[in-house]
Order: sequence, then structure tokens, then C-alpha cells
Amino acid sequence: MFSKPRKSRRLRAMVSAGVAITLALSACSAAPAATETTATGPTTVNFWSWNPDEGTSKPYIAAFEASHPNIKVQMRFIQYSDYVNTTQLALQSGSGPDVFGLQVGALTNQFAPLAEDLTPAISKQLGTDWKTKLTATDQLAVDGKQVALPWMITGGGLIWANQTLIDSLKLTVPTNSEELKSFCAAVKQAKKYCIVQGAKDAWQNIDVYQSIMNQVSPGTFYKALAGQADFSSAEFVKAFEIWKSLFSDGIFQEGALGATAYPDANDAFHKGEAALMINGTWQNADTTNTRLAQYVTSYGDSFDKNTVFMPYFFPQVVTGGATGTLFGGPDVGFAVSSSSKVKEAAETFVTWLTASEEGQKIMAKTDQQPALSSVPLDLSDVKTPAQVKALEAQGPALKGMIGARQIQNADVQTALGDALSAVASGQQSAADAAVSVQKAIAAAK
Amino acid sequence: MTQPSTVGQRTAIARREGSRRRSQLTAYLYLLPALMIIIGITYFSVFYNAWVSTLDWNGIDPNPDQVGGANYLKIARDPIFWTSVSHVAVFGVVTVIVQMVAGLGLALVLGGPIVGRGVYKALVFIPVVLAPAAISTAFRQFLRPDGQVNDVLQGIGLASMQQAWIADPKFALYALAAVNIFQWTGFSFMLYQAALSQIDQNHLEAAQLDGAGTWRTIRHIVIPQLRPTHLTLALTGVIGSLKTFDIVFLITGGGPGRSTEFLTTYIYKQSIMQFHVGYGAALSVVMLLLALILTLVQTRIYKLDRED
Amino acid sequence: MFSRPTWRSRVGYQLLATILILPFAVPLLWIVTISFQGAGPTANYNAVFTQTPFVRFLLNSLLISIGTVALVFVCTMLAGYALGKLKFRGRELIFTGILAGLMLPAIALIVPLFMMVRRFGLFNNYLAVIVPLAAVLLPMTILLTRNFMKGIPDELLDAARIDGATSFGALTRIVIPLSRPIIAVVIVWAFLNSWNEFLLPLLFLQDTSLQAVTQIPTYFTSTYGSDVPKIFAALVLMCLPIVIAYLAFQKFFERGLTAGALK
Repeated sequence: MFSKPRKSRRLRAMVSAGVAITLALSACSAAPAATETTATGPTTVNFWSWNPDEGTSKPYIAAFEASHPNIKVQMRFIQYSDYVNTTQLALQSGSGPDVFGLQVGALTNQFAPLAEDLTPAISKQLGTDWKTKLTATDQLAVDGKQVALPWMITGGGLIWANQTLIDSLKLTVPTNSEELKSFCAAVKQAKKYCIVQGAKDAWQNIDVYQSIMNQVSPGTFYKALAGQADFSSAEFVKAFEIWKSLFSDGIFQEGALGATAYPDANDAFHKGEAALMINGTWQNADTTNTRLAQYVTSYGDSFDKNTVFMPYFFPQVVTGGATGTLFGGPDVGFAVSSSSKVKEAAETFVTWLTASEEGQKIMAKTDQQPALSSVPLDLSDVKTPAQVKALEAQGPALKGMIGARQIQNADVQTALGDALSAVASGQQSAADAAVSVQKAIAAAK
Repeated sequence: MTQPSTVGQRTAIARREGSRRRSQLTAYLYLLPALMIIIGITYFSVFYNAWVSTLDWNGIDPNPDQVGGANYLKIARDPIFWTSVSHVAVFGVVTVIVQMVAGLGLALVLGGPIVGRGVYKALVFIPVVLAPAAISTAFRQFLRPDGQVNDVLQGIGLASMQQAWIADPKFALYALAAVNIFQWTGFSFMLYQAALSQIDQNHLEAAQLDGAGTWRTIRHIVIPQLRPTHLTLALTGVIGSLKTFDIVFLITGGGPGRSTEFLTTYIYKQSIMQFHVGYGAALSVVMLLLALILTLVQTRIYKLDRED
Repeated sequence: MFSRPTWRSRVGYQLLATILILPFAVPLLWIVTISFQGAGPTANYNAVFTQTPFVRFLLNSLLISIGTVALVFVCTMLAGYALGKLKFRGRELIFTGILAGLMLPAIALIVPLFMMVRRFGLFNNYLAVIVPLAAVLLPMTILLTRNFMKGIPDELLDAARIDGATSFGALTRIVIPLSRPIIAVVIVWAFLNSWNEFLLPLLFLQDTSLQAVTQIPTYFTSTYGSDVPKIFAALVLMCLPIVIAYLAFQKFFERGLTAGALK
């Protein structure tokens, strides 16, 4: 009648053991992830960002630790889709990162209370006229507080071409919409994508829209965001219509709305499945041998390490439209957490990354515009002279960027992203889309 | 004996009272660990959300504004909220029905003379144990215009049915439903299989002797006897649809446009990506109320059914 | 199907079963096939072990899962017993109150949980993942267990009581041993859900040495690109333990569901 008591005792023992183990583990794992003081050994700075990734960050960290032997940097790469989530919560916990990446716009605005004002640190590094030595620092400042420092300056408004592929198809890169249509017809015949777009990601769509809008009416986009122009006016509607035609004319690949920019579209482009991709100067490293070698590791031996990726300005999609403008600002900025226990070391790392010759020279090697304006691009690793010329041509455009690429208000950004997606998928008319964005801008005041 | 008169009898009664109180106490003690966790986490979260829903807060600011019921009014006028609800409804109906039919069908077929039954059973249930994150990653690949699903359609001569599944607002929701069906049919199957094994064999043999064919036996004897399972699956399926998040977020992200937006993804986007934690909390409260209403309505309907 | 099967009906059933199982089997096959593409199976699977902290994360997930299973088991057995077998005031009310927890979506927990984790200083502590997971799992496990235990004949317990056993003694000596089928269901269900949990470890276990195995696929996606075959190899390895665990427990699991878990 009674079951074997031994079995139940064993069961109970197992359960108690399990609970005990868990509690013990929790006690052990509660050890803080951060640091010891400088008195007892090297300080560890926890660094989180979606950019750079683990591979890209290695040269920076190695160089920094070499010149700062009592600071160690522990990097954690988090993909952007999880980054906002994770970091937001962590920063308020006291055991989050010491240094973290910030994107211009909504992110900077929202995270401002969680970051330390970097004005004293940067003034120490560069002197009181630091604002003239670093580019576009106000895009990372909120109400006079320098929330983050720019790492590099990038511009959108380019279209990247797989020159090797295009040359092999005996085609030339189109410079206006007529040429684009016939170009795409030929490319698709060769069973390749014409322009591969990650239309699932609002940001890439917004970049394209800005490129179009800057041709339809230069600068008006930014005026409208600031409330000084009407987003529902005819020019914006026209831009939406041009945007829609990229889908209905088959310029973008089928299923673009389901593809992400990174990794889907990006992978397809770099693996030679597409001729063109709309992207910005942040892809400049594609012209360097180092990056090409990295692609061989990521994509395998099928990747041709002699592929020439060439940046062009966005083709003219409006008759008489002005081409050659770039829009942008700091791509990534770095901030120091106001609850960090190693603020001094963290600030040292940030100012080294963003404002030291040593740190910025490493950036220059990737051919993205260093934030420290005294450091020029290092074009020594670029593959071909033609690419060198193209990169140099970006310089004046980067200096005279027509507006900030990131939208300040998260709701407006969402509204524009939704509108672009709805128009592209035929769910909303261009006129209605423009109105909906204007509504969001008005509501955000 | 109507009145306790002796000391002994009074002590006995007192002891019974005492022991009843003690057993009440013991019962509560048994419940304590579970209740501590459930109240501490689940109930606390509900009340905390209710509190936050009266704020206009970005989750970071130490001094949020009080706005009372303003968030709820906003929800009522929010077209995205209503589209999300409609998506959940469509998704719920499709997945619950298909999962039940497929699960029952499989349970019936695999109850027959099958070689290698264990393999079949394992194959249909393995999707249930796979991580939603894994399934989402996999199906994002399969549903590409150049992906495996379209390849198969081409292979069986249905090339005209090829679509850009998750890029087309007409099909994206159904593509998601298909992924959900892939993952959860095994669960329905398992429950039906268990219930089928409980059906009295004599009933079935009697029906056969009376000349009823297989299909009629199923329709008129088997299916009615499975009612408890039907109801359980319907109830859990509807609530499950309301709670679905992973596959929507990871496969379509609510898009294209808002054509696959669910309440859960909308809450996530509002709270985390757009920093409207107060509004997100209000949406959570509304969703909880919806779940409660749906559950009450369903149990009411099913109880009425049973009383007939 | 209810009478002796003929040759034809055997083939018919086999064919039907195979066709019906295809939509489930084929995607599984695709997952494995893709993991073999690119650099090849040895390179891809090897990469999971060498380029990611796979083994460490595996052990972390194991700890989290064991902890969750243990916690859920203890709470469920006690509560299921009380609700299924003991008589006391407020029993139905408490039971309904527990069931209501089934409706709560995980998404609604994030902000409150974060506040609690911060208040109690539980960042980088496995408890921050285990306890919320248990909270989400308990309504279901208690429901199943209570129904099951209700089905255990009261006479057995009365007999034990007459022999002088306490209610706890009856629980451990009679009820739990008889509840093995439902215990299997509870354990598999709790293990499954905690093993597959992605969001909670991501948010609350921030020290890289503490993270869960669900994070492994992200190692093959860098800022700009991703290696799809390796990601799939990581997915396969990540799911393998739970698949194996399920297959091992399959018989008990089925028995548990059959044994009146459906009331």
C-alpha cells in the first residue's frame, strides 16, 4: 500500500539538492560584472555597442590597451535589434556598460539622462575650442549636455555598385532613371538583383526617401521635420510616388519588403547576387583589402577577393534634380554611463576613440570620415586608383552635408517608416502617406 | 445527544475545531511558495502596469507626467490598435481551427496500422520543443522569394502560387499562421492522441457491428467524445494567439507596413523602441482585459454546451 | 480503422500518414541541410564550438533550466496537492486566481520585472531569469497537476491518515510516487520553456560568461553580415539537447497526458 519510501526520499533529496544548487549558484553569480579599483590592478571598462562588432573592435582595443596599460576594455557586441532594449534597461541598473554606443536622433535624446556630460573630458583632451576640432558634435548634444562624442562621420545618399559584376555584364552604372530602367532589365536577365533593398528596415527606406527628396527639393525634408515646411505638400507626395515606382518598376528585388538591410540585402550584395545597393559612406571600408579579406572569412572561398565595390552618388531620379548631395552626421557616438563606477577610465577610452590621433588614425584606415577633422582618410589600403578617386570625391560632399540623416523624434521616424512601407506594398496612397507623416510631425511638437 | 455535556465531548469538539484550523493553515502553507511567486511576479506586474498606464513616461525620466486615463482614450482612437486586434483575431481563428483539424487527423491516422509510429509521432512533436527563435530564423530563410517554400511549389508544379510570402501584405499574416501551425500542431496531436486512447473500445466495436463505416464512426462517436479536448485546445489556442510574439517579431516585425502587427509587437515597439512606456502599459492592460473577456465568454459557452 | 486492417488499408494509412507528416518533417530536414551548406558541415559545426562560447552557454542554460525545473516542481507538487486533495476555505478562489496567470503575456512583464530586478540587485543573477520563468509556468503546471491529483482515490489517503501519516507524509509517500506521469509532463514542459527562453537571459544576464545558449546564433551575425549556414548549425546544436531530452521522456510524457490530464 505504501510506495517504496526509499524512492520518495530520493526524490525529495534530488529536489532539495536542485533548489540548493540553484541558490548557491545565484549567490556565486551575483558577483558584479564590473571592476576593481585602480589601486588593486587594471581597471576594466565594459563597452557595449552594435558598432563596432567584435572583429572590428580588436585593433582599437589592442592599440588602446597598449598605450594605457592599466585599463582593460571588455567589449560586448549586441545586434542593433536587441541593443536598444538591453542597454536601456542595463544602464539603469548600475551594472550595465561603462561606455556605450549611441545613434544620433531619438536614441541620444532618450538616453541623455543616463549619460555623463562629456564636455569636461573632451575639453581636457582637445582644449576649449574642441567643437571646432571635432565634426558635428551638436548632433550628439542635448540641451547643452554633450551626451556622446562622434566616432566617425558618415553620409547617406550613395549607391554602391559591384563594379566587377557590372563590368562582367558589359554594363555601365546608370546615372538617371532612364538608364536605371534599362540597366535593371539587363541585370535581371542575367538573373541578378538590380538594386537589392532591405525594405523591412525602416532606416534604409528613409535613406532612399531622403535621397529622392533632396533631388526633388533640396533641404526641404529637414525643414519639414523642423516644422518649417509642410510634409503633406506636393513635393513630398511626388517623392513618395518615385519611391513607389522603384518597387512597381521592378528596380528593387521582389520580396524586398521582407528582407532586412543587414544581413539580408547586405549579404546578397556582397556575395555578388546584386549589382547595386543603396547605402552610405559607412560602407567605405569595402574598398579596402582588409575588409575584402574579412568577407572571404565570412562568406567562404566562393567570395572573389578581387571584387571592386565602387561608390556612386544616387542616380538622378527627378528631371533636373540636383545630385551629389550627402546627408548625415555622426554614425555612432560613444557615451559614458552616469552610473559607471570607473568614469575616469571610461572617459579616457571614449576620448581616445573619438578625439585622439592614434585612435582616429585606425578609423581613417577604414576610410570612413574620422570625427577628428585633423585626421585625413588613410587611402593606403584601397584596392584600385579609381576607388581612391571616388572616395576623395566624397570629401567636399561630406563637409557640406545638406542635413542630418537621423530623425530626432522616434514617433515621426516610425510614421515615416510605416508610410514608406505602406506605399511600397500598395496599402496606402502617396498622398495619404504624406499626410500621415505631417500628422506625426504636428503631434510631436 | 443534542448537547455536548461532558468535558470529554467538549474537548473532542475543540480538538476538531483546532485540527480544522490547523489543516486550513497547513493548506495555505502548501500554497505559499507558488502563491508568493505568482503574486510577487504576475499580480505585481499587472498592478504595476496599471499604475504605469496612467503616466506619460519614457522609462528613463525620473519624473513622469500623470495623465490619468488619457492613454486609454488614445487606444480607443488608435487605428493601429484596432488593426492589431483584427490580425490577432484572424490569426487566432485560422491557427486554432487548422491545428485542431490537423492534430485530430494525425491522431486518427497514426492510431491506425502504421509502421514506425514512433518516428511519425516524434516528427510531429519535435517542432513543439524547438525554440521559437530557432523556428523564426529558419522560416525567415524558407519564406524568401528564392527560398525553399517557393522551390517546393515550383517542384510540384504550383509555380504560379509562388509569392514573396513575408513581403506581401496579402499573404504575410497567413505565412505567420503557417509557421505557428508548424510549431503547435504537435501539441493538439498529443492531446487528441491521449484522449483517443481513453475512448471505450466497446463503443467503437458496437458501432462497427451495426455497420457504420469508419468515417461515420469518427463523426458521430469519436468526435463528440473528444469534446473536453476540443474545448481545451480552443481555449488555450485563443489565449496563445493573443500572447504570440516571437514569431511575429522575428519574421515580419509587424510589417510590411502594419499588415502583421499584433498587440504584443505593438506593445514592444511602443514601450521599447518609441519610449512610450505608459502607452505600452495601457495596451498591456487592455490586452489582459481582452484575454479575460475571451476566457469568460468561452467558458460560459462551453458550460452551457455541457449542460444540454 | 476499427476492424482488422487489410493489406490495402495498411498501405493507405502508411501513405496518408507519410503525406500528413511531410509539412513537419521537411522543414526540419531543411534546417539540417542548410547547416551543411557554405563551408561544409565539419567547418560549420566546428565553428560553433570554436568561435562561440557554446559549451559554457550550454552549461549556463542547463543551470537555468535545472533551477527552473526544481523550483517549478516543488511549488507545483505542494500547490497541486493542496488544491487537488485538501479541503480548505477559498480553495476554488485561489485556484481561479492562479489560473488567471495563464493569460499574462511575457511582454507585459518586462518593465515591472526590470524594476524588481533593479530593486533587489539581481542583475547577473540566475534568479532573475528562474523566478519569472517559474511565475509564467506555474499556472499551467499547477492546473495539470491538480487535475491529475484529483484523480487519485481518496481512499488511499484516508488509509494513510488512519495509519498516522501527516498530510505531508501522504504527499511524499503516496501522491508523488503515483504522480510520476504528470511529473514527467511538468518536468519536460518546464525544462523546454526555460531552455528555449531568449528574452529574459538577454535582458538580465549581462555578464557574457553567464549568458544562455539561445544567444549563440547571434555570434554569427556581425555588424554588417551574417553566415547563414553557421547560424543554422548553431540552431541545430542549440535544439539538440531539448530534442534528445524529449525523446528520452517521450513515453512518460505521453502517459502523463493520457492519465487524465484532460479533465
